[in-house]
Amino acid sequence: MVGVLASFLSTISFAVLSGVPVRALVPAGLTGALAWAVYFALTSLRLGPVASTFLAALAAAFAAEGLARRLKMPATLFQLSGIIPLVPGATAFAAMRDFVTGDYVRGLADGTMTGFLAGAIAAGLVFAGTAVRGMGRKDRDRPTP
Amino acid sequence: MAICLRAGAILLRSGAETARVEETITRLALAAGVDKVDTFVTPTGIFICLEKGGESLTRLTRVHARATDLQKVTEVNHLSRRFVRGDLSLEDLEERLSAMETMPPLYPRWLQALAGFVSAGSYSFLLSGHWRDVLPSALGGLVAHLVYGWKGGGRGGNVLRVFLGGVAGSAAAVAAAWVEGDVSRVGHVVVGAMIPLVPGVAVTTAVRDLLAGDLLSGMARGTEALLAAVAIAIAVGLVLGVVL
Repeated sequence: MVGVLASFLSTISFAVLSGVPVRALVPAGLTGALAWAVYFALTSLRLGPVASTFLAALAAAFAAEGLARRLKMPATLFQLSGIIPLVPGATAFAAMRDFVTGDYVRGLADGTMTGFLAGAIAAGLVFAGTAVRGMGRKDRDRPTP
Repeated sequence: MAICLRAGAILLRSGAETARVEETITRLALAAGVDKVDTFVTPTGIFICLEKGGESLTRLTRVHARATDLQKVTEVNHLSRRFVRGDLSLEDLEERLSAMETMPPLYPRWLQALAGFVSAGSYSFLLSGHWRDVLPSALGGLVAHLVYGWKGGGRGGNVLRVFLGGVAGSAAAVAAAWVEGDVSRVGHVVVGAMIPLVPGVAVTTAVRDLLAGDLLSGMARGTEALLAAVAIAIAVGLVLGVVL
């Protein structure tokens, strides 16, 4: 699938912009590709965009936590990469276009959709984060002073 | 003490989460033989209070400029781990940290520009699946990134830079699409061009801060991300208003 390759490239280059260390670039790109693959598969199964985005973000966030632990690097590196292909750019653009052309009703609808999609990404990260925190984070708990 | 502050400031300036900064400071201080540590970290400042043998010492440092350099976050993380394990002496740690403060970004500017180019191009392909969208979008992304990074790690005026980057980038993308002779699918091109400006790190750290219970920092970072997103939206709207 060319899309997976495109998401991989897009993610890696965004990672470079954010200064992700060289050692983490390829795993980061894979996380992005995973997120896109999940999203693409689910939308082709006719699942709604919000649900697909949520599940894709969830998958990416879990992968990110796993990679972070394995490579002993901050999870942010991989979470960041996982959500890049999911950014609701097209919907946000549609909302702006509608507002500019005076179609306020559609603009509001698209804007709301953008909000939901962004919320779905955040919710995916939150869910994965809470789940992972619950699953034995004991050795990495904050040291009690 | 000074080292704790310095390590914390580097972390914060490079876009690390609050919990990570606090944890690193606490670990470093405890490993250096302090009895009790309290830290309070916000996105714009660090407070540290150390206690040793009945005496207490408090310092605070203000962090102005924030940029994104996850390499430094990873590196400080690594150094503090080694210091806690005892592989690294206090002097070595200090030396490494001050070296890091002057360290240039990991990737040279041309490579970052290339990354802006590629990320924009491949993202627009992701959206539309048309090869002809790639080049205009990539050009727009390049312009957006260059304008955004123009004045280097800026103080404060981040929103303005995102806005200017957005205007320049989307204008360039639209122009390139027009030269190519197909403005009808301009949407995918412009969206791709905005990708280098997306506040990805701000969003992820905001979520992580909120999750860790650092509500203050989480809200602050969330606002930062929202401001950037609004700046992009207004920039694109402006350009569209002229074009459509």
